[in-house]
Amino acid sequence: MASEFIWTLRTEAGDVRRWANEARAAELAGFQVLRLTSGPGRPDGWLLAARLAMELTRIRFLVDLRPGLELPAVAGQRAATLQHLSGQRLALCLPTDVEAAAARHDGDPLNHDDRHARAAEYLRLLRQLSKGRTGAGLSVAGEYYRIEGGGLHRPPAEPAPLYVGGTTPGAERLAAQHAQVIFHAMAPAAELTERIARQRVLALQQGRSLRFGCRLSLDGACFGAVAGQLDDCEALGIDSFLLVSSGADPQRVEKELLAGRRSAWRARTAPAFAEGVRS
Amino acid sequence: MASPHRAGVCRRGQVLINELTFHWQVPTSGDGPQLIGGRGPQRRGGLDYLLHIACVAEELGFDGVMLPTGVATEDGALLAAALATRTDRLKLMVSFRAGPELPAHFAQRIATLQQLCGPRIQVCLFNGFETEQRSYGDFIEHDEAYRRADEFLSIATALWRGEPVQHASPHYLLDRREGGRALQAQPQVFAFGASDAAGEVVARHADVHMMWAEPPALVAQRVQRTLALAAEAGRELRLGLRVAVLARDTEEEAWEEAGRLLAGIPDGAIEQAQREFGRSRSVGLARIRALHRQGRLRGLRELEVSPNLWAGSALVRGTTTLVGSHAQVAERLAEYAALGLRSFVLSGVPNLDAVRRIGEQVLPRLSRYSQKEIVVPLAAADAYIGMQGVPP
Repeated sequence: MASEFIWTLRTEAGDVRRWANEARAAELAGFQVLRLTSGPGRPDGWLLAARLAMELTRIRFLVDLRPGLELPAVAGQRAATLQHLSGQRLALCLPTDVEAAAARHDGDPLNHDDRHARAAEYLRLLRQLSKGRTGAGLSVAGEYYRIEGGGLHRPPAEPAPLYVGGTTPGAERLAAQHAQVIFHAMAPAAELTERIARQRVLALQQGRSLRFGCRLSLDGACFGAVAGQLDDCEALGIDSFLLVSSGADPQRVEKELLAGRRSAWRARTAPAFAEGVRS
Repeated sequence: MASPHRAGVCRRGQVLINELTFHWQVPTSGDGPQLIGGRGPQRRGGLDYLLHIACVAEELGFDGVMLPTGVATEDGALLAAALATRTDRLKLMVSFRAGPELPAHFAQRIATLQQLCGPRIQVCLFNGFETEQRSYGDFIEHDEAYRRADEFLSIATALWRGEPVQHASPHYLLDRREGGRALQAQPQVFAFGASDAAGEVVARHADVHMMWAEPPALVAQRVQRTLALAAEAGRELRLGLRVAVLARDTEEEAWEEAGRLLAGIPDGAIEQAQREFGRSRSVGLARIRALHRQGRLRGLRELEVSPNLWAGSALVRGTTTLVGSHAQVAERLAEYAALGLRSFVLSGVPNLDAVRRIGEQVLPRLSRYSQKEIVVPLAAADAYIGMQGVPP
């Protein structure tokens, strides 16, 4: 199976014109997913995705859930709208490594351990609410959230896939229960192997399967070294790569790092898949 | 406050046409040929349809569009980001409630929206109804909700001005000792709220106080009360009206269409809506319900609670409707303008047909009232004042 490449849009500086140009370049280069982070000093990733969805046609948008800042019913409603606006191109990311200072900056007073417990409840509710409203609606009284008569009136046509990052036990449990993809930071092969094996078991215990992703920095590394890391990761079963860089151009990355790999996959895989890459 | 209005009393006022603004409400909870779903063809609400309505509104000279908030709508801010790519100057009014998100988060989202769309973002506080709030996961008492909204707007507007915020209350905890960058333009704040608790928040924070369309006599009272509260708070405030419109070439055709809408309400829908509305502590809603006597008035013309103001739509929705010929609807809007209302947020069924008709046939007629003094009859006032559910 071919790997998925995610381009991280740099929004710490610049304006909408620059972000749109970089996003378009990433789409043209063949990146399947655009990661839009959120945080102090950056634009809201969801709104930027809504804007970019109007001019980009293929790339999917990976935006952050923020359990401390908005209720799960609102996140669900917003996700449904963004699915609608983008033609089902939304993917959700639960960052589990938000620093307490960043959380407090936005007014979320919870400490780190509580945030994991809250996120678990959040994801559970988000999934239940996104099935739509039936009968008298969903009523729950959880530890962090209470709902009476809930459920989205306009559920999404398709639920957005969930990406979870982080390697703490809490993050792994969350991913096993809810995520489609769990992300790792780059680590020695032995360590990655051990983590992946452990997470597979955790997911299996939930009757689920997980995909594995890895975050790769393009800064300070030559593309040859990165290509080597990609090979190592793919050999371990990792098939989603979140590329992060402070200055690289997506089309150059495609040409010098990914193009060769794509043609290699085309040769390896069935014609049906090659069709998919072209379209 | 003792009512100065008695049967036969009139109010004189000028229509300052250049100060009037008109928004169209985008039907983000779906649209169709009837007041509520059920019968008739599939309701429309696809992205292209909503974009089309906004484009028509811009082309026909509307000042803006309003994106409502509620459990059944698409998210307003996200839609605004999309609409901005197809419109140039249309103001984008994003409705919000204070419960479901933290104020700093809201402030940042609106700041982003302004960054993406230019300085044409407006926000509108709508507290919503209790059953809706609880389905979001927000459990709060009516008056407490407005105290919270007060804090919410204090924090959000301070952040927009780039000021430091240190806030600690049972509702919010925020510690930003250093200010940030101020927004290019402060988003204009609209706010609904007819209760005393709402009045104070509106007077302190809103640029425009929105009200649902009641008979002119009752609106005149609310205008006085709002302006008095604003004066106490040392602020100037504009007033706005949220009303649906149903206009046709002739009065007869318009009422025939209203009759069709009334007949098209599915069995039991009025009772269901009124049971739900009745559970709410919203004062604005209680005032509207009093107009149709909590759903007991059912006749087409007995629901005409003052000339051309039809409470029939309020049997299943919150809003009343101006029904009449193009000229009549223009005249009624001019009367509200003469009472001091400046910002109008309109809608109609179905919205694409209605925005075109109002833009082409009704708004141009308003210019003939420009700078003219109008005499507004407040004759119907006594029929409502002090009636059940209407706070004096």
